[in-house]
Amino acid sequence: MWRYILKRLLWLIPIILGVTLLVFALMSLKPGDPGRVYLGLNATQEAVDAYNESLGLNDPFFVRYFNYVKGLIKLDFGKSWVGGESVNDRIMSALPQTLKVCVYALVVAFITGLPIGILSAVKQYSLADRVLTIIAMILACIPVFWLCNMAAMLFTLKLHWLPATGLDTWKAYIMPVIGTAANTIGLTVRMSRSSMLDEMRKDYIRTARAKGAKEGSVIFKHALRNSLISVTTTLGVNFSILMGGTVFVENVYAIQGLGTCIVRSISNNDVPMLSGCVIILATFSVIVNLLVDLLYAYLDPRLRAKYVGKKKVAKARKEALNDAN
Amino acid sequence: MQTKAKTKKQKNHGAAYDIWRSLRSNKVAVVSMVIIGIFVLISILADVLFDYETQVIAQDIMNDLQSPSKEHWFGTDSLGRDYFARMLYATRITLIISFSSVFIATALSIVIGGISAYFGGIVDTIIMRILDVFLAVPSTLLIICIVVALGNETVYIILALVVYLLPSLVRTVRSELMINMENEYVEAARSVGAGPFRIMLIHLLPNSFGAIMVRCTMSFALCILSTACIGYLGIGVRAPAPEWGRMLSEAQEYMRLHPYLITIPGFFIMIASTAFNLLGDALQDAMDPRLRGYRKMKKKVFARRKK
Amino acid sequence: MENKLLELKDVRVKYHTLDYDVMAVNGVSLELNKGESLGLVGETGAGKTTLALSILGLLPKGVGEVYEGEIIFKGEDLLQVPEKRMRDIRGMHISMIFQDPMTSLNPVYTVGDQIAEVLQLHGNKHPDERVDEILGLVGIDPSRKVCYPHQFSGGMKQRIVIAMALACEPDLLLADEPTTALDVTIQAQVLAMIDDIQKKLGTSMILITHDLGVVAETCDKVAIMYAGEIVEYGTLHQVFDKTRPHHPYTVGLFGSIPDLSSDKRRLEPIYGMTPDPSDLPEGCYFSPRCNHCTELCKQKGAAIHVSEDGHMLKCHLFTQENKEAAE
Repeated sequence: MWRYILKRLLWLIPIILGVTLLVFALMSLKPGDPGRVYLGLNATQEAVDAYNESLGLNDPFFVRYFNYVKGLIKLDFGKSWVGGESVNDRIMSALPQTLKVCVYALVVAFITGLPIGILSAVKQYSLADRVLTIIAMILACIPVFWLCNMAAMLFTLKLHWLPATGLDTWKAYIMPVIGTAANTIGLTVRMSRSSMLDEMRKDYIRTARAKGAKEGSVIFKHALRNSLISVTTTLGVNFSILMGGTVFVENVYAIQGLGTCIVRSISNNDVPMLSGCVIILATFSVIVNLLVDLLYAYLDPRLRAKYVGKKKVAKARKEALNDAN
Repeated sequence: MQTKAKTKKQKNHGAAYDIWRSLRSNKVAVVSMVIIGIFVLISILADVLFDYETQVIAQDIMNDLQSPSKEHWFGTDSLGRDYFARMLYATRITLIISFSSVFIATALSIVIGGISAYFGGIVDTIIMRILDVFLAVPSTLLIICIVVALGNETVYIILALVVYLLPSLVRTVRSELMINMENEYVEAARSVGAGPFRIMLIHLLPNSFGAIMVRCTMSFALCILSTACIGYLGIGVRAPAPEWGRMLSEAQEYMRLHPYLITIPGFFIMIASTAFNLLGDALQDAMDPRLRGYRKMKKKVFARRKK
Repeated sequence: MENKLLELKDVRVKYHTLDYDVMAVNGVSLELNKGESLGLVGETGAGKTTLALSILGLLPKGVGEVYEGEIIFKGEDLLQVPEKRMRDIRGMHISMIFQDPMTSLNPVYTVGDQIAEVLQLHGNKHPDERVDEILGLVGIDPSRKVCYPHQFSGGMKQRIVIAMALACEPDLLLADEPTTALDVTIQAQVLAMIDDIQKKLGTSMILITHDLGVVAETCDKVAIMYAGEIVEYGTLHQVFDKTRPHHPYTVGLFGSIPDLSSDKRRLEPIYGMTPDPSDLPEGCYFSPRCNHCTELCKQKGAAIHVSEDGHMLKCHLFTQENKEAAE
């Protein structure tokens, strides 16, 4: 088991490095002129050039990349091209908001999506199933920015129940969290439904019924436990989608999180800020995926056994040979 | 392809026919296909119904922000342009971008997935790890980065979408190929001297076709949503060309007094992507031979004698 | 009468699919007494598994349906009892073991837990001792009850499935091709074990198989099934006796078995194929393949002929001959 954990942890490094290279390479394709932005339109060309030089913009690609990674290791994301503030500071202040919304959204998505998916699978082809499947599909396909606007129109403008900006009160969390979670709720319902349906058709379910097990036991004890394994694997992907969605949710609800940073840095052409935010979000995504993989290995005894130490494998093999004789 | 031997009552049916029949009998699938058909029709006929220059782009401030009426079915936007005409053209642009992206991505993924599955070993590992890096970045952010870096010409948007779609398509192709490679008919083909390309093209791909098709339809839906997403952020299809996402974002300021401006594009986005996803689902159901019998009976008890 | 454990009266089962109905079982009547074992023989698609599933009420929901007949177990018609009673019966009075041991066990629970489950479902609150006992009976070291199914070989998995089935000492065991998926050497072991336990516990058994050799080793009675019907039924000696008259299908089955002692160089297969259950032929279902087919066979389904010692044959040949003989 530990070998599996170690193996996955080690893979983190090349993947994160790969992400930094990808983002950095992409961003360097964009001709930027931070000197001009910082010093203004009236500054002389020499001053602008000097400023750019000082930022290392004229160095060859790999030198710049190397310096960037050096900085990253020290957790220094560089300086914003707009106003020269430290990207770190901005990320540090923005990250908590984004993380809070994302984590709550993931929890909400799972808590609502899973039971509905199970219900749908158990009552397949009933009216409830058909309706729920269609609703889940619509939720999975609804554009998040549109949903957030519609929700704001209804709950803030018309009904005055919920605030539409910021994260000051607990009420303010409701629309952003549900907005972020909406797509994932739909996906989770569909995933858990299809996974349950798959498991329920398997032979061991027939064996359980042949033993005289009650239908509830068959569903929850046998099918669900197996289906959770495949649903868990989608948790990681879903978190990634959630984080992508924050860009829009924060925009609509004026939340000062990383999403807003990203939108601002797009319009300001602020490369370090954009790179920093994207890399941070990607890193979180990778970490969550790792945790999910570990959870998955814990849930599935077949995987657990695969990574069991050499000694145990030899022992089990000996036993099997003895049994066969 | 499975064929049934001809008997007195049944005709020669292939697997494709069975899939079509299953789709036809599935009400949801039929509705989806009709919706998609309507969208395609709109795209083709947009030219015929409305002239681009005069009705879609030309501004008419005097007429701005009119609510839907008989003259302007969807009203007019803040610059006085007929919203209905803009919606039709936006449909066309979205469909063209989505179709191109899915097409290119599928073709590429067949090549890459094929290489990965066939050669296996280190080639496979390298390809998979590279894809992992692309997958590590949340999809929306990846597209944003590419479009910001390269510019928002249509070509680059399509490129960004292709990069976005590739990892999951390659995975699908690769796993389908790997599953089918285990089958004995591959050994049989190899033993009579078929080379790798022939095996891939004639044996493996046709069998993987179904799963790839399902993935394609789902990818279409993803493209529609993603195009709208970057349009919303202002880095998608360029003004003054109409595009659902950008139209939606421009409509935000007028949300309070003219809700139709924001409701309509969102609705179109939702319906279009839902239709493709539902079709993908129905295709998946149609390909699963075990499911075909279950539709008829609605009784939920174990089989007992009818009372 | 008290000895009769199971009686099937004209049981008919069909499956509903999108276009047509699959007539899987077409009028099966059988009797089984306590302690007896019946071999149910037939090709793939004959309806044997469907019949077994019908007895336990395990046909796929909404698709399979027993639309005719009675299944009387210890006096109760299983087709009429409420679901709760069926659940009591399953595992406790009637158990079933399935063909593929690789997929019959739940991969996420230990084998000890899975065996304990059947005991707990039927009232045993402290199953540990019994689990150890039953594992020992099937030849598995009880200390391995904490292992997961994937840690066992195919033969051992099947033993575990058998242990689960016999844990509550059921009256009737339905064994659906229990050894088909196993190696020949393991087959022999598992069969011997089933036979041994069955005799020890006095369990009745319906052994479904396509292998006549297996039947010869373990069964008291034999029923030959074709296209959802029982075409021949009798004791082991009656059916295996070459001097008696047999159903043409039975003759064909025996003829398909290679015989080391004979001089013949070619096997004699039965020509043609099993009929499509969704499109059964008119008249006798075997008529398209039968060497002795007559006009009557093509028009009317075969009649049942029972000899004095209880050997049943479903074929016009025997009723005709009888008629001719009588004339």
